[in-house]
Amino acid sequence: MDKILKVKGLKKHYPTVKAVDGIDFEIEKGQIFTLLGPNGAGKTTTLEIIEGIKKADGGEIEFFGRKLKNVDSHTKEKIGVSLQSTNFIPHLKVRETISLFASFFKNSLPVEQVIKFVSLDEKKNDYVDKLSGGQKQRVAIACALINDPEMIFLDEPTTGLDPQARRNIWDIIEHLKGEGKTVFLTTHYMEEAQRLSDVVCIMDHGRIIAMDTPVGHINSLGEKNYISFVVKNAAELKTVFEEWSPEALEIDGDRVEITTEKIQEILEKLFSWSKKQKIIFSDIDIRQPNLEDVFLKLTGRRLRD
Amino acid sequence: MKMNLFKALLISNIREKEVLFWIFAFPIILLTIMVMIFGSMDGQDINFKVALIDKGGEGMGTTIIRDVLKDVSTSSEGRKALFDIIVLDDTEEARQMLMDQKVSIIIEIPEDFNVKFNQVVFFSRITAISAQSPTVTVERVALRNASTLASDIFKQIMSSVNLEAAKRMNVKISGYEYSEETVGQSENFSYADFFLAGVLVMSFFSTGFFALGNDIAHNKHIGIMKRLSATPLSIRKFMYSNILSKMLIMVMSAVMLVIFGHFVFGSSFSILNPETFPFILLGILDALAFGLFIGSISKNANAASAIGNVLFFPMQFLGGLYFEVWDISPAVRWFVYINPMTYIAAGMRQGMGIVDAPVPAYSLYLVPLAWAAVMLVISIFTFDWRGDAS
Repeated sequence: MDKILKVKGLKKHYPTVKAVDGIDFEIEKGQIFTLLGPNGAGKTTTLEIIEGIKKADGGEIEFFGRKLKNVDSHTKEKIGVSLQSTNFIPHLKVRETISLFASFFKNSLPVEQVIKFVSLDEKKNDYVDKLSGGQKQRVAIACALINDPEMIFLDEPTTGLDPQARRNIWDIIEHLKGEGKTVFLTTHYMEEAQRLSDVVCIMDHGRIIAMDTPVGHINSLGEKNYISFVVKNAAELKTVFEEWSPEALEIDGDRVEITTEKIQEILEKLFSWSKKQKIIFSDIDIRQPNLEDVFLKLTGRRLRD
Repeated sequence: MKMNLFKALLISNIREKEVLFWIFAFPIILLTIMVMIFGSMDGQDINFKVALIDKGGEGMGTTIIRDVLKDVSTSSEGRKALFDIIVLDDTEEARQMLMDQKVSIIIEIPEDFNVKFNQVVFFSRITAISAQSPTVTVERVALRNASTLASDIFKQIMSSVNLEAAKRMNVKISGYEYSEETVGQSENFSYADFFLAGVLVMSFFSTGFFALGNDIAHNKHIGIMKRLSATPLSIRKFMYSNILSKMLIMVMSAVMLVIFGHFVFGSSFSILNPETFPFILLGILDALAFGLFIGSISKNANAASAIGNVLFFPMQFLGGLYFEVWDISPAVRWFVYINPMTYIAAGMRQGMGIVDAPVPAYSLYLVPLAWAAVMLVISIFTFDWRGDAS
């Protein structure tokens, strides 16, 4: 596969923090590559260095087969960018804003085509300032797509959006993948990374701590499953649950979470014990591991902490 | 410069309600208010009621002074007389009229006026001896504008008396000398023209300080420049387009103001004199340079607005935009003399043939140019388009 982007030893150090601390990764053409990590992990700084907004303190970037010290305008012609904050020149309409961005590039797609692609047909004559968060984000993606880029950078495109707006953005990203575009995504939502990505690069404190496909990451946890339920006086029943030899037991108020590879055995014990003791469980949830569990295993912290 | 970007920035500015008000509507409102308040004080309409207590009797000195007072209290060629003189005998009655605002000043010619006048004439031929000058007493009310103005005008009239005495008696009477330097003022002085120049300078600086300065700070703060930097467009081109759009707004505002002033208040088109043009350019240059400075040193639009207000108001009121400030209290006079607005407004008015600036001509150019250079250098060294994100 063609490598569209190669990053080696990338560094960005501020006086009080190492925002990016020598990271390496490669992205193949047509991939959705996701940087997953909590706030402050260094995702946006990494992205902004590659986009040419910030200068690196060290390391190498090879873009479209060319080694670059700084990202030049030739490279910028081939990439599309949607930043974390979606602010535009005020008092312009949707169509005017996208047309303006089109004028910055040598080649651009027809504005109407892009508006249609991001489903903003009905809003094209509305002022961008008056749009909802999700609609503004779609304008941002339209501006990132107007030059028909080979690679699109989307920095936390769904942060702060409601579930419906988030799903709309996911649809657009999946559509882009379908068109063979390469997408570089950052997010701190594990379900977003899990659903959309070909490769997930987990980042924390400026370093890459794991990189694999979503399935590869999850498989690294083994055959574990998670059973969680709510029971009164959970803390007092801790010794009972420990007797069932789970791999991990977590009690948070009345909620109990058991991690185990022997899901059937534990469930049988749980139900027969509850019947015998006449104790009622509620809100029972059985799930497979996800990237949140991977992050927890790798860092000892949850993504949202 | 990108034409599309220039057009978009212009549209964005024109759609901004605050810009519409402060840059287009406010100068017109201000010009209207100023001309309505002061317009009736145009040369031909100034008229003061003056109480005259004449105890001087007959003689050459009093004849001269009465002749001059007669001149200024006689209307001619459809113009109102400068003074309406009410002759009174009783000083107390005159003072009561002064307090009741029925007269603006009291002029009293004392009994010994002719005696002293004759002594001055006689002794002026014997250089070794100098006689005590005759005096005319003027009473006025402090802090009352009409009274102060009438008193100042009377001082000027006394210069005429002196001149007349010199002509008739071939002597110079030192007692009538006044040391105040008066600014040259044209016969056709018009307050509408005077304020037009001032409001025009205000409009330029208002656009520079608040439209450009706030815009730059806001665009940095919310990441618009950061977003543009991820495109092939250079930040330099963005800045050029932004500056050019503000220049066009200044020109549009100026054109509206000149047309409005002409058709509503009869102001002349002398603002378009070739002598005025360099000061219009200097006004635009300084306004933009200050705008860049404010935008560069401010973290966000609120900070830019605060800095803009702190600078704009003293500069505006101590810049002679609405009244003469060259002879203002020494405590703040230094500010008048370092303020670029003072020189730009004075230069414009001189170019329009309204009032001569009481400073050397080169300073009218040099001071605004020096400010523009200083502001631009500071802006270049402090400007960072990444804003908070850097």
